[in-house]
Amino acid sequence: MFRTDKNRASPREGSGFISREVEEFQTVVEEYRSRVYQTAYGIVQNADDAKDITQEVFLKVYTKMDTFKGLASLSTWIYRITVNTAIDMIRKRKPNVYTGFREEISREEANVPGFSGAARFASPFNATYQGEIRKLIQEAFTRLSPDHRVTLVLREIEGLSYQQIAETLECSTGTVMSRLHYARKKMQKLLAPVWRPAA
Amino acid sequence: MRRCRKIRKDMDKYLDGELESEKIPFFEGHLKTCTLCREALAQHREERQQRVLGLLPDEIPVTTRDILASLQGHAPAKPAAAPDIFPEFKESPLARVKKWVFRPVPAAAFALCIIALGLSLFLPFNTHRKASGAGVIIDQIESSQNVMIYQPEKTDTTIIWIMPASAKEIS
Ligand SMILES: [Zn+2]
Repeated sequence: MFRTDKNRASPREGSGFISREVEEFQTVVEEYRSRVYQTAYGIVQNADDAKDITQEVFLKVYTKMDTFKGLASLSTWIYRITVNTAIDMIRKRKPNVYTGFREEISREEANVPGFSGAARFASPFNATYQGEIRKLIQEAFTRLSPDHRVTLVLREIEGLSYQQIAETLECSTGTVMSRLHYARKKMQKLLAPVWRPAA
Repeated sequence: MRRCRKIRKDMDKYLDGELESEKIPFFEGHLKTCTLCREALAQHREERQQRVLGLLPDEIPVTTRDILASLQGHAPAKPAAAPDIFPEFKESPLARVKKWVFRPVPAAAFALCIIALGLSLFLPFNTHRKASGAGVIIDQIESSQNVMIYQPEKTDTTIIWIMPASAKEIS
């Protein structure tokens, strides 16, 4: 699967010699580590899986750097690898982790004790409130299809433009817009009781 | 009211910073005059921010050190490597097994072709055949490098043997 020739340069702490490739790679890791983890976490909503995805992404980047040159911008290429690795993880996990949610988030669930309506927006930094709301947001999000999750994360968490998302996912900006529209509509619908609870 | 509906429809695009520049004056002009749309936009922005907060990790638990350590024993990319981008995605396990099983065959065929080409192009030829005990030497070519094509008895195997000039006497 991957070349494992130990005679070739590999990153070794404490050894005086680090090859130029490794040094270059280290700069890439420093620059993209947070973005890769955040994107992976955003898509799978699970810290352990996001950690594994991050390691796998950089292993791919490290061993495939030669195939990258000149194909796309480095960030597009790394986002693309991240997205594909995360989608693979979702598919792998599907039967046990990411399914089995109830069809609706009920108004009762959304009514986090002690907070209602305007009070929630008035104190959005209360820890309990944040924890509860967060669970509901995550639950709603993980009901979206992988493609919709990915598009929403690249736009809202990573702040990519429609054009950059289209390049990353190798689709048209029209597709990006329609996926965003659908994903947001669905999130809004699922979370409507959270934002506007019954009086 | 029709204007309001138009504005609501474009809110996400506006917040994404992707609303077409020619639509921005109309959009912002309307917000100045319509309290309902202004409030709707504020509420929408707030919901989006909450959503992002809900989906963000608390921390980044993978350090550069962790990542570099996980690469131990893996070779970095070299410009001369094969051009396939992600063979581990394209290849089925069966294909991988086949690749390993059949690899020696094309390799041997390739080697034979190269040697044959070498023989026909570069060597001054003075070939002769002779028999020996263990099998048959089909062809022996004398040159600075003596090349011998040898077939052991009762087999279909052909051995191609390249000897340095100094070793010629032995044969
Ligand atoms: Zn209006």
